[in-house]
Amino acid sequence: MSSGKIVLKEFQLDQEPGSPVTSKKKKNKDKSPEEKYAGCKIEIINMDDRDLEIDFIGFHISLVNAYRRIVLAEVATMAIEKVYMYNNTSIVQDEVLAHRLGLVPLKVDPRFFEFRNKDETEWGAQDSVKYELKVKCSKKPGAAPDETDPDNLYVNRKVLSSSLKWVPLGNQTDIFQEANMQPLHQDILLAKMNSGHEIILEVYAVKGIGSDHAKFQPGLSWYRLLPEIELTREVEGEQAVLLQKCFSPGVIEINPTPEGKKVAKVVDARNDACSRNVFQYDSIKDSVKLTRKPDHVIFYIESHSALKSFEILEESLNIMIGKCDTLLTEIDKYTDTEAEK
Amino acid sequence: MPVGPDGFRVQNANEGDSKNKLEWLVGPGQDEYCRTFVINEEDHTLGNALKHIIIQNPAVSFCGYTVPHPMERKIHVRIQTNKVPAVQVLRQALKELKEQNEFIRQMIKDEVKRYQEAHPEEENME
Repeated sequence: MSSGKIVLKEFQLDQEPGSPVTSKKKKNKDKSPEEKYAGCKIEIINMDDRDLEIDFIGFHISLVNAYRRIVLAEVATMAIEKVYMYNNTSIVQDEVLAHRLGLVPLKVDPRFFEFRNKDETEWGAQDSVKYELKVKCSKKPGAAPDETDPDNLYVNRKVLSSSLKWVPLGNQTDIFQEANMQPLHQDILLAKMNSGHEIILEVYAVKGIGSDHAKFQPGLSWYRLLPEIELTREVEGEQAVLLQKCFSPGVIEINPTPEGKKVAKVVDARNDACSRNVFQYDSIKDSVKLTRKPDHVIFYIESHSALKSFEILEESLNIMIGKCDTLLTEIDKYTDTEAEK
Repeated sequence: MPVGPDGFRVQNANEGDSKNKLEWLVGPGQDEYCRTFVINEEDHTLGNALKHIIIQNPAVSFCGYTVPHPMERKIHVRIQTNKVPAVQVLRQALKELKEQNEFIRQMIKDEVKRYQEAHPEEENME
């Protein structure tokens, strides 16, 4: 049945007639969710705390795109917002150092905190996290006289994110452990100093969202549609080798037939980068049909915050449901007033 | 954008008027069955997903959404139906969107659990 697949041609993209099942008008009344979404599947291909590769099969792409947009713009994280600079004699300027501090990812779980009020002047325990940085660079006492490596000559030449020390506010010691309040990576280089330089500062981290500043993005998220490769004729010998080179490694395999010919076969189109290299060569241009399935979405999330990759996805779903809820209560306000009239 | 002494964004003089989340336009071309809804503080994230759900409703003869200006955070959703109140269509679509998202949320939770049970050795490595 015509499926609305997207065909990748040499100079254009075409769409086959028809549409995937999800886009057709349906009479959805009185169907339970299980029946409505019977053809739809979600499969996790790869998952750990940092990375997630998940397949959304049968869902419309506008929904998956909404999740991607929410991950980038509306899932909250903690990041350093205010820097009180008491002393900075290093060669890194105040504003540059403050900017770098803002971009340091923190391991603080944003779900324990609230958003800070616009007109708030105090730093409360329920909406901010305080760190301090006190580093002074001095000559190493036991260095050899002809030592040239500056890391051996000086103490604290490099200011790393490990130097950020958590200062608990209010009752934070009862709720949090120090190990969970550190920057995500301890070896982020913040500044470099020479002998006699000193940096003393206090910073406050708050909860924010990606649409405000990119430092608040919890991670990266992107998706692609599942590629499909169909061979329209037999490709053998040298042409098969050329065909194999045109696609990403592992996509095309060359197998010997019983007659002794070497024939190309499509093994797994999933890993193909869809570079359309095959159209460069006239000899094999006509031998493949490249398409993409419009309802099979391969969705990736990479986390660089306290939230794990699948937690980021769950948060984005919560936010989407929250949007629908807000609008539903708004509509009910109007329909209630109309019913009263 | 103007920044106050505390480093937080200062409200514009106009922003002080509390904006409704949902409004609709009045004028020619607007009646109970053909309406353009204005949803404030939303963008393509909700607009595209909502439009797709509304279009699947067989009673709808036209549905589209637009962001009138990229510097203003609002969307216009136009719904034209045949003898069905447009507000009802919008409400149905929002309910369906919410239901779909809740279903997906549950599917993801189940799938995460299934994957974690199937791959326990990776858990220990982390």
